[in-house]
Amino acid sequence: MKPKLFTIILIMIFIACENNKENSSEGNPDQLLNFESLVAEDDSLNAGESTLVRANATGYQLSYNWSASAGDLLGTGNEVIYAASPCHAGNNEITCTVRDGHDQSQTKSIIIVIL
Amino acid sequence: MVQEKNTLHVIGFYKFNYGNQYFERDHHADFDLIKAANYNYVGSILGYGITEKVTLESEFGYFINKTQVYNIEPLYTLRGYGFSNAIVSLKSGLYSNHFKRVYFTASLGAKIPFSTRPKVIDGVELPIELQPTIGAYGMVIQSFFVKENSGKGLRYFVTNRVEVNFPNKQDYHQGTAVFTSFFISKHIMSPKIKGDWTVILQVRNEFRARDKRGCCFRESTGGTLFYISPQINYSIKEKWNISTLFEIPCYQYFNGTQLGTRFGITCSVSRMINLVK
Repeated sequence: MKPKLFTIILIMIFIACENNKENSSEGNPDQLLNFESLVAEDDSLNAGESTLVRANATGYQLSYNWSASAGDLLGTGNEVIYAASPCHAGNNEITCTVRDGHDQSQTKSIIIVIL
Repeated sequence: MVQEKNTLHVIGFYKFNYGNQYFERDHHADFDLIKAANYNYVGSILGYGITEKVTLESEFGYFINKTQVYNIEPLYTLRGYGFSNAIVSLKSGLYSNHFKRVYFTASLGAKIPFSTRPKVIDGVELPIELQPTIGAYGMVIQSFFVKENSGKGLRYFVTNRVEVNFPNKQDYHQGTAVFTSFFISKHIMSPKIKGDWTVILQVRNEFRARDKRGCCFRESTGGTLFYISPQINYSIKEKWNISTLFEIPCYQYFNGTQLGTRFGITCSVSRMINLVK
C-alpha cells in the first residue's frame, strides 16, 4: 500500500512542477532585462474601438504589469487589448512595467488618443 | 430615526445590479463596447444608540464581483472584486413630536476607502468602473424625515444623502452624488394574511455630477436617474426584519454616452438588539 501512495505523490509533484514550468517564461538567468519597445497597433481610436498593445522585452522570468490613465486593458502577459468608451476621450497613457526574476524592472509608456 | 440608548441595530444585505444598454443623454444609444455589466455586493450597517438622541452608525461592504463583458472577438470578461468603502457617521435626532408622530434626523459621516491603491488582477490594473473602491476619502451627509399615521398603518419617509468625494491619489475626483428618496409604507393589518407584513413603495432620484481627472471633467460621467422600488418586509416578533426590494429605473439621463441600469435586487436581514437587558 505504501509504495503505491509514494508513487502517486511523486506523480503529483511531477505534474505540479511541469504545470509551474508552463506558467513561467524561464529564459536564461544570466540574460539582462531589456525592455525594447511598447507599441500599439493604432495610436488613435474612436470610442468603442480597441487596439492591441505589445511589450517587446527579453530577460529572465519576465512578468508584466499594465495600467492605463483611462480606459480598459483586457488580457495579461506581454500583449493586452486596450479599449476605450466615450468617457475616456482624450490622450490616455498606457504604462507597462516589465520585471525580471532578479527583481529588476523597466517601464515604458505610450499615448493613445481617443477621439 | 435615531435608536434607543444602548440598542444595536444590525443590518446585513445583498445587492445585485445588472445593465446591458448604453444611453446617450435620455435615449438608447447604439454604442456596444460593453455587452453587459453586473455586480454582486454584500454589506452591513451597524447602528448603536450612544444616547437617546445620538446614534453611531457604520456601513461597509464587499463586492463579490463587478463584471463587464466586452463585445470584442472573442467575448472578453473583466472582473473586479474586493472591499469597498466604510462610512462612519453620527446621527442625531433634531426634531421629534410623538403627538404628531413626526421625526427629523440628520447625520454626518466620513467615507473611508478600504484601499487607496488601484486593484490589479493578473498584472493588469482594472478600469475605474470595476474598482471596488475609487480609493478616495469623502463625506456623507444624510437627512431623514418620517411622518407616521399609526391608525392607518402608514408611514411616509423622505431621505436625502449627499456624498462628497475628495480626489484620490491618482487625482481622480468622483463627482458629488445626491440621492433623494420618497417612501410610503403600509403595514398590512388583515386577518386573512398571517404574519407581520409591510409593503413599501419608494421613488428614488440619483444625481451624480461629472467626474474630474486632474483639471479636466470627464465628458461621459454623471447624470440623473429615477427609480421605482417596490419592497416587501416581513417582521418576526418585532426583532427580525426580512426585506426584498426591486429597483426598476423609470428615467435615465446620462451626460455623454454611458452604460445604464436595467434592474437591481436587494435582500436584507436586520435585527435590533438591546444590549442592556
